[in-house]
Amino acid sequence: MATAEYKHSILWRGEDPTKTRFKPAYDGSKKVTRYRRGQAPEWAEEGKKVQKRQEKPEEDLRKAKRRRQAAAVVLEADSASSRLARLQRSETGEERKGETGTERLLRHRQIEEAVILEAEPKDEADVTEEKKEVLKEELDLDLKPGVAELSFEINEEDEDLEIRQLRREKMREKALSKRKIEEDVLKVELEEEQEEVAEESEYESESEEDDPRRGPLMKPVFVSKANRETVREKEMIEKEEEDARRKKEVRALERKAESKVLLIDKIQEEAEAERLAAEEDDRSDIELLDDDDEKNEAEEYELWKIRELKRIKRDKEERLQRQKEIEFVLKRRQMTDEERAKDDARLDAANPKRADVKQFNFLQKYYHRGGFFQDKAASGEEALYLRDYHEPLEEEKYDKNLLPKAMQLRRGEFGKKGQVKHSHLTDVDTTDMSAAWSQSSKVVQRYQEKMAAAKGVTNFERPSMKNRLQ
Amino acid sequence: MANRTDPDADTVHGANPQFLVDRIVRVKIYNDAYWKEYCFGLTTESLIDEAARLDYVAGTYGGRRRPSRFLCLFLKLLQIQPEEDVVMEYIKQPELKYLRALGCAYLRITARYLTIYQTLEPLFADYRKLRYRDMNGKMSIIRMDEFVDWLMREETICDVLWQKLL
Repeated sequence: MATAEYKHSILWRGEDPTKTRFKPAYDGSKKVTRYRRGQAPEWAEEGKKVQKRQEKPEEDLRKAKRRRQAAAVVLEADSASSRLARLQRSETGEERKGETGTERLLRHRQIEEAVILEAEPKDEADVTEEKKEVLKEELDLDLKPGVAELSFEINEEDEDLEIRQLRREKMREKALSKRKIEEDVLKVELEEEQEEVAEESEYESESEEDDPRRGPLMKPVFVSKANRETVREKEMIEKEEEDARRKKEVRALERKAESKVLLIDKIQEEAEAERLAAEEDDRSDIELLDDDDEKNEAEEYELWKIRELKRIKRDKEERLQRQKEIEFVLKRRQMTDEERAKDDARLDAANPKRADVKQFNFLQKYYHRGGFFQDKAASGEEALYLRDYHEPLEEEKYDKNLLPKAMQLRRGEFGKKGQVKHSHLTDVDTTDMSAAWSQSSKVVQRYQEKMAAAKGVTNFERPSMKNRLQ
Repeated sequence: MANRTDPDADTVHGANPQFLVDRIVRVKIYNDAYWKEYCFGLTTESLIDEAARLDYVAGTYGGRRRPSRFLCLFLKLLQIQPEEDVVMEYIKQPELKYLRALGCAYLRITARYLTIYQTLEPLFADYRKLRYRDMNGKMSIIRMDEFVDWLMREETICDVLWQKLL
């Protein structure tokens, strides 16, 4: 149906707002629980009293009143023990007219007599010792600043009045001393705290209220800046520091001067030594040995004799040698050729030319003997020349072919910059031999011959009828 | 000028007698303080006085090869070339042994071989002590006959090359 009112028609334009009942978006019936920081949610508040919020302030006032009334009632009921009642009674004083001193005391104070549980027979010595022990215990002064607790230890074992009296005295003394210490401490503290405040009187009352067990303290008195010890201490410390600094400076200066003096001395010494050395008087630089000829004449004579004889001997030997040489030369001149040959052989045998040439290992280093001092080598004077320098070393004994190519070098050559073991040019030839024309096969040869028109170059046979026909 | 050989002097072994000492050693001697101060203008007589003050026999010694006084006087002798008689007198006198040694050395280097043999061989009997300073500067004691022996045999004594005797 194509009407405007029909909901599902094509002409439908929506509901008429005036016709519908207004429904606010906010629904007040539903309570929304908000989460706030610090507050536990509802479901967590099981043990808590939620009623507080519900109470009104009026109710509170009423409750307070009721409480007070109850308290008042309580006071009045218990008159015997209450303070007020006592005061009232004391004012009247009816009951106590005919009281004696002792009765009054009895009223005030209940003295408990000590009850003896066990009585042991003691010697006098023991008793005195016990007393001493007791005294010692109580003389242990606890010097901690704090509450001065007087410990009343009622030992039922000690029934001596003496001891009790002593103990009381000790306790009194203890209390006094403790009080004194506390006073001092407090004084210091107070002085430190109140450097600026002129007067104060509040502490007195406060301290009294704090702890009634404390003894009376010294009244904090203002100490002017000039008289204050702390300030004085500070000044003293500063003074000391300054003194120390000054002393240090002085010492540093002294040390400088000292070192300067030392340096000068040293330089002077060195200069003097140089001068002495520079003078180099022939006589001064060396101790001259004794030149005296009159000493030990006999010994000198003996020594001279020995020398002389040696010289004579030497001369003789030289002469002999010379003689021999001449004789040999003459003899040799007279020899025939064969004899000379024989003589040569004999001489060669006598003096072997050289030691056997040693076989060197592969890449063993050759050590050149050197051209000088070979006469000493030959004669054997110098021990160094008697050594065999071609003994192979440990590193030269094994086969070096096992090593990589780079290490196949003589001793001392490996590792040097630029070390190149140059063998021969073909070793470093890098031509590629796989080319067809460089291979020496028969085909290549034939080809080459053909190209060179060298047909019969390698044919050295004589031309014959046989071959010709083919 | 002061280091020139006496113009009247004869040649020794065919050369200037001063050249018998090697050039290097010679230059060292010329630059020496002792040479410049004391050896200047020495005569044969004043040389005796100088020789009397000798302490030891030495050539050059020390790190910088300083010439000894003995060597300076030796060169001086070569320079002034005293006559043979004078030298003989030097050798013959028995008191100053260092002068004797000096004379021996001079004779050895300048005189003829026969003279040397004839003069020096009797000196083997003299076994007096002489102080000797080697090239390192170390002092030792040698005897006169040892010294003469060296003169006869060694090639180099006191940094002077001696020709070998026949």
